[in-house]
Amino acid sequence: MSYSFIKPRKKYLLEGDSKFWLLFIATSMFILFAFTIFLKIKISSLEEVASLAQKKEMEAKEAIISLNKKIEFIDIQKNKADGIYSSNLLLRDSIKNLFDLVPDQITLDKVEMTKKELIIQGSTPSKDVYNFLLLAQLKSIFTKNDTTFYMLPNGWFKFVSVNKIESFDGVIE
Amino acid sequence: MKNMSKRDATLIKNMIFLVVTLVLLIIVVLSSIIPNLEAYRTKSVLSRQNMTKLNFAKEEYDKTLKDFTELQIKTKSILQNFQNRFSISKFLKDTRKFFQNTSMVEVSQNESEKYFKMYEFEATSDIKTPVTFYEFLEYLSIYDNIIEVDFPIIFNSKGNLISAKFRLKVHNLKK
Repeated sequence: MSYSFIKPRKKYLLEGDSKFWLLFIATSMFILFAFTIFLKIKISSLEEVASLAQKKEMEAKEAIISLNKKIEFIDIQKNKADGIYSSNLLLRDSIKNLFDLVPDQITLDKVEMTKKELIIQGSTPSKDVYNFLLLAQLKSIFTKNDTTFYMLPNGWFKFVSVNKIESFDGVIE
Repeated sequence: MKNMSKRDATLIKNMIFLVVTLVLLIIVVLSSIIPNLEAYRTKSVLSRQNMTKLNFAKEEYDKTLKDFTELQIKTKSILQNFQNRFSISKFLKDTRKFFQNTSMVEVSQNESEKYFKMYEFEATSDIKTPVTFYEFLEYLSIYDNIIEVDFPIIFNSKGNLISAKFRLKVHNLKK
């Protein structure tokens, strides 16, 4: 005896719209999970870039320090050389100025120069020629002047002039 | 209990699914997406800052390197002269145009300076006129060594010539 006019239909655990919802949830979760993985990869990449940039910046800074030390050393050498060249030229000018001071009437036998002293030995036709034409000039340069005269048979005078200067560098200007 | 219609049951089922979906989404977004987005933003800013600092450092390095290279070129001869070994025989040969009968004797060495060593010589020679000595002092600016003329300087009349006695200081870089 049959109680139903129709054959029994198959029953499923999940029907049409439930399957849709589950599929929707799974797809959403997958997308979110994939996005999270993508973000983590990007973050890792950015960390690497930031770290590498920092490392290279440190290297650049160290290289700059090294270069600056080399520049400083070159400057030290350049300044020393320039100082020496200037000193030589200053000496040239000092000696030139000294010989320019000596009038034609006076003959020099010896000139001895140190940092703070000038000793001149020579001969002059008269003391006045020496005093007015040379000593006056020397007095304007040196703080202390001492001259000794010796009479020569021909009437000329031999002189020894010791002149001292109390300047910072002892240069005759 | 009143029997539910199929439509009501479907509605309730769909609402439950919706709530579950929303809850899952909120959990995932709050626990994973937002923190990672924040971390991405932070790292992005940090990366940009570091790149800016790097570019600045590179610019400064390039400028410093340019300055260093230019200075090296400009001071090439001076740097070389400080390295050149001083030779008395070469010096006597090179200064023959200024001096006659030159002799040189080493009198002292000095290493008190941090970077430089100094050799001091006493030189004696004959010159025709003081002008020759001025020219010699100028010539030292282009010589292969860094040489300083120093006191005491003594000129002695010697007939037609002038005998000149002076100190020479040769400066070299310490090894």
